[in-house]
Amino acid sequence: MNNLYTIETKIGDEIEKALQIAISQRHTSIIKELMRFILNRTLNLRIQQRKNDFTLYLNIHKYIFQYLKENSVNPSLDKEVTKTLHDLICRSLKDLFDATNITPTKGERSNNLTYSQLIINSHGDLINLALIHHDLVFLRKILNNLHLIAFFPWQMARHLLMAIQQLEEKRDKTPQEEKELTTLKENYHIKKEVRMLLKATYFWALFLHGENRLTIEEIRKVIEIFDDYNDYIGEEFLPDLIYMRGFHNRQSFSWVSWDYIERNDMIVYTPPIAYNWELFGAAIFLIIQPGTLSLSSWKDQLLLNNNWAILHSLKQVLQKLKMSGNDKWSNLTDSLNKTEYENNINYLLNQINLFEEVRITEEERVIAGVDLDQAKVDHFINAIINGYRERNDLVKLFSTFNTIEILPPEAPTSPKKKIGLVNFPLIGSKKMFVSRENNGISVTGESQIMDLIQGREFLEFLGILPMDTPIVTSNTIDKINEILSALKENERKPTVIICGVNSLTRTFPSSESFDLATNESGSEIDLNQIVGYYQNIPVLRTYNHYFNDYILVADFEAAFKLTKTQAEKPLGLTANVALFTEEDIRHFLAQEDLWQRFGDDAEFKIKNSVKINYYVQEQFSIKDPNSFSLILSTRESV
Amino acid sequence: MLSLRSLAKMKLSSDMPDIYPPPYNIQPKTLLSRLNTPLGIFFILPLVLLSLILGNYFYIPAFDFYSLKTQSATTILEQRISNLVTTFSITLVVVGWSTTNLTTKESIPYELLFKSAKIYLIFYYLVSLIVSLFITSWLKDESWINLPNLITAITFLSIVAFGGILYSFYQFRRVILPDFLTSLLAKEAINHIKKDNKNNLILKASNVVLKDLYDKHKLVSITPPDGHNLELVVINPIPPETKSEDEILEDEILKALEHSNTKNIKLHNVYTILLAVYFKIFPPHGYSIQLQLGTIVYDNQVVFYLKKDKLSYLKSVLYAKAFHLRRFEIEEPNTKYVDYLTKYLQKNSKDGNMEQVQLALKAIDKIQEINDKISNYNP
Repeated sequence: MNNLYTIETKIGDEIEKALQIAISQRHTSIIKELMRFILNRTLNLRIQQRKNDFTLYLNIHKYIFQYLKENSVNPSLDKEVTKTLHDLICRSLKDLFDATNITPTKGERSNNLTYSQLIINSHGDLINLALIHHDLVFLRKILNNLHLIAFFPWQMARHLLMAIQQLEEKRDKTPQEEKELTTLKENYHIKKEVRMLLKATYFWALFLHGENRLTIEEIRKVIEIFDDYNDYIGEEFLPDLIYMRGFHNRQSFSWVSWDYIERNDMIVYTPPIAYNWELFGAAIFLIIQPGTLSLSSWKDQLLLNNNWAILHSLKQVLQKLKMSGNDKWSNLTDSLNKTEYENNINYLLNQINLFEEVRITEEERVIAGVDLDQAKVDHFINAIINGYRERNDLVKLFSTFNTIEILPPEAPTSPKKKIGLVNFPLIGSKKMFVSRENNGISVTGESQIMDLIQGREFLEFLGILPMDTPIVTSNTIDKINEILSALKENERKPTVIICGVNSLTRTFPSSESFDLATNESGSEIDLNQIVGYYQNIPVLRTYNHYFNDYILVADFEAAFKLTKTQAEKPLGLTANVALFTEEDIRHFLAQEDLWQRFGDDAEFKIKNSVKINYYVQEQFSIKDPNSFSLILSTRESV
Repeated sequence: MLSLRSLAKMKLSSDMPDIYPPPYNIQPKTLLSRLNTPLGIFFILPLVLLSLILGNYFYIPAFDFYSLKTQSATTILEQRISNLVTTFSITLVVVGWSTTNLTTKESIPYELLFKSAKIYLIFYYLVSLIVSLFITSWLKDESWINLPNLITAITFLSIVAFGGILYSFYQFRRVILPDFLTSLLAKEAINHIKKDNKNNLILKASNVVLKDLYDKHKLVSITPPDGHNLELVVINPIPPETKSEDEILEDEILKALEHSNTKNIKLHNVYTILLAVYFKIFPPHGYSIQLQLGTIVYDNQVVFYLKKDKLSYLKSVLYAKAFHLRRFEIEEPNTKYVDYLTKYLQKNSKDGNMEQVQLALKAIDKIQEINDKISNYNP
């Protein structure tokens, strides 16, 4: 619906222009009238859930503020207009936010969040404009607006979180409780967004001072404004910092693209990215209020997934600040002076150093001393054995045609080559196998392990085929017919056709005697990758990369043989999970550099890992080279 | 109903009767405004002549008490001609004087003036009346002319003409008032929005209509696997050419880049009755994509899958005949009234005319209300 959007866009743009004209002529009553119209329209679009148009109208607030700032020639004359616009912008954003949350949505709760986020983002844009144009009066107003938005009966984020957890753990929730839970979650989310924006504002302002965009008086004023919102900055300090540095969806936060330099069209210029400034701002904030950094309470969070790296970066920033002199930063507040500044930095560095010495979580300590839970191990082993039996088409083929020979291990001809995982260390995976609550076995891990052995087996099988001397042809279907009749003449019975992906698409779809595989077909062979039947012979597809252009036509029973060494599990499979022994650990610590990166904690890391055996000892061989043919199909020319 | 387009139109009219009334439901007002165009003379003159001919043969019974002599009828006829010509010239002078004295010199208010005052309609009516009177006076001695009857009819028609002139003057007076102007602008803008979007909405509705047809014949969407054995129904076939391998590769890349629609072909119509018959006699295996009118049709676009047999190629050709393709061009929407309205708003914002600003906003609100209804249409 192209032109509908045009009309809506057109009207939005023109009303914005009318508003600009009214501002330049200082007609306060007309400004009010137009702003009221814009608010009503935006609300209406919110109810209709037209996000694009909603954003269009929401952005008018930002553009109008920008227009006011850039075209205000005489501040004393514009005073009334400025004040009116400040109030109107703040009030309409607040009204929009309230309406967004009151409006009942049709089962789509996530929608509310989207619109709340849009409104919070437009606060973000306005904050940036206010800082660039040194309008600290408006900054105070817009921050107050944000505070009002984030104000819920449950004040602190962790109280909200506790309430959410309590409700989540409760079984048999009433519909009312479900509703309460979603509301709480929404509130928590909004609170987090607002908190992030407030933090970003603070850090960005400090950064702007560093870039000499804000004077010392202005930054002192900003810090004074933020005295009222210190709760927001201190709350969840480290987790938020980690989040700010590592979040993925950069589109959803307007403050990520904040910029302070006017861009000319001709000049290529990289704006500062959040990664450059937020840690810097955080470091300065910590120097002002060193008590905020309480590492012990965030210990678990920091140890997760190498999050402690952030402390390292913070340490580097602090060290640079310490070395680069303190003239600029030591008089940010009345209570800060040169000695105080240095003391604070030293205190912070000490804290971080102390913390970095210990990096093993309590959980890991506990797990290192616990034995494996046999039930969980058995469950895992059964899963991979079943997987081998069910999903491995190649072995299934051999067992269907009864060409598997299983020899006892002591027999001289029994295969010795192990295909699969032998004493393979699964790092950090011991927690999968000890009894704890809420910890199931990772299914992806199983399937990855199963596919590993299957792929390697197929490669072994390819090893015995004459891959270097196939029959090369571009007219595969005729060749196949030829081979089939030749096999039949030699009193062989062609039982299977195995195709690579490319050769399959090149050959069979154009053939009339090819039937699609359906469930009704009365075939005895039950394989996963059957794609159809060619002259009643099952056609099997394989995704193996090396086999892409090949086709194998065979009387399988007569052609191939599989020899396996007997093992504890069916089909010659060996599968077990075990802990590393003390000897292993000593061995590893002495030699293997796999564990070196963990430094002193290597022993704990090894004790948090298990070794897995999952292999077969087998040998593929050719019984009769005349019972099969290998075709290499080349691209057909039209 | 034979085609998908007409079915979709019907569905649209039944879904949104207030915005797109069904074709048989024409108001007298709309009829008049349709005659009020530069080409209206071709309808109005025959209408006037027809009514005079009817008046000649049919006596109006309400005038039983009054009998006109043929002699005085002749005199009256001559007088009527001169009266009407005088009225016509005076009207012309007054209209000219009024338009030159309008405060605004922009084209859109003039256009609205001509529209709302029904200038074309009334002028053409007067001219047609004068012409038919000339013809009457020329033929007055013919034996089949019943002059007294005719004079009665002419008197009626003339009274209607005077009423029209009065109405026209009244509208002239009103157009200068801001509230009337803004509401007229909104009305015109809404008409254009309706017109511009009608086609889009028909396309939307056609999706549902076609889906209903598919459902009725228990047709499902299928994606046949790589090596299937089905006949494809192709509606935009491209004749196979002998090309080298490199050229084919190049074509494939070009196709991927341009989305393979090099000729801007769209689905214009579907002959549903044909399709329904085909569904009955050679039921397809399934359909490939859910079509709607206006869908871009790619080269060798597959729409159905048929089970392969000896006649399947013939069937697929027959099926393809049920689809009507056509090149398309993108039409720019007409936004001149919206533009004028917003300019009006800006001008009055500059001058600080609160009342006019409010009126303009009210008109914009009205436009948006209709626009919302149209854009939220979900068949």
